[in-house]
Amino acid sequence: MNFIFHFLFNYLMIDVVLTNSWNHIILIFILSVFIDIDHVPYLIRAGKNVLKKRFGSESRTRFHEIYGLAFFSLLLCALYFFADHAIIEISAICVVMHLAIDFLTGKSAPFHPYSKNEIFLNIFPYGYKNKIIFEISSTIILGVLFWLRISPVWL
Amino acid sequence: MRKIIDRAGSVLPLPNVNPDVLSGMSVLTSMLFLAFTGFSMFLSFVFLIATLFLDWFDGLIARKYGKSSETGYITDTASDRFSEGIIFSAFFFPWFYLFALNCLLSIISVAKKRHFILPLRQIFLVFYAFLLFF
Repeated sequence: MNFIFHFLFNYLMIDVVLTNSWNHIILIFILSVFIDIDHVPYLIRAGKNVLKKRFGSESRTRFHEIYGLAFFSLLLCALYFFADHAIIEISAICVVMHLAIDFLTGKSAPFHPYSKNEIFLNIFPYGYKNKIIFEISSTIILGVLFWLRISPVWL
Repeated sequence: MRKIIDRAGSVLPLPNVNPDVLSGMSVLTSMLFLAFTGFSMFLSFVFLIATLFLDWFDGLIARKYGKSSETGYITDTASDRFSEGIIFSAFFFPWFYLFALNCLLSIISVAKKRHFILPLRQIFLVFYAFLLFF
């Protein structure tokens, strides 16, 4: 999924679970998108064909899979004793949700490099055209919900 | 106990659906559990039960229709870890610590091809039921 979707989804989820995401909006944005940094080398390699790429398991490092989930979970567990507990919980939701959404919507190799089995759950569309339609429409819906949530009428 | 439930399930007329879809659905119900924790404990409890039911059901269907495979095991184990991560991110201490341990155990299980993983969500269900009803 695109980074705007990740940010909007995490913002709304944290707003529902912990309330008042607005105070942590920058933190949520950074934590929602930083995992996608591992796509950069792949994007550089893809060059002009970047729009045709669908960011499957070949575009990710092990930090986008269960290995990354274990790594970031242990890191957050260690930081829990030193940092604000609310910030750690927000971080946990952002990281876990990002990895879970990418697992649900794209092809992944969850136990890379220990198992090279590539899986796709067949819940959401994967064909080029259908995936673009799904991604754009879901991002717009989340954008509308985000706008409604932050507009003064609801505050 | 599991063998008895599986034997009972094998005689029932179950739908021949893709077990991977059910595994993915259990991640979605975990998200619904998390979303409802702030509004209604009862509804979130229902979604927690749905998550565990789907997790049990995908294995049952895979065994009944001969769809068990290494890829299926990988899908099921990965879905379970994502589901746990989502559920325990709002109940950090001590659950998220146990979840981190379970992630490591999952990696070891796949690498060594031996399954040893803690049934955290089942234990959490009992804990959550206790919070809800007492």
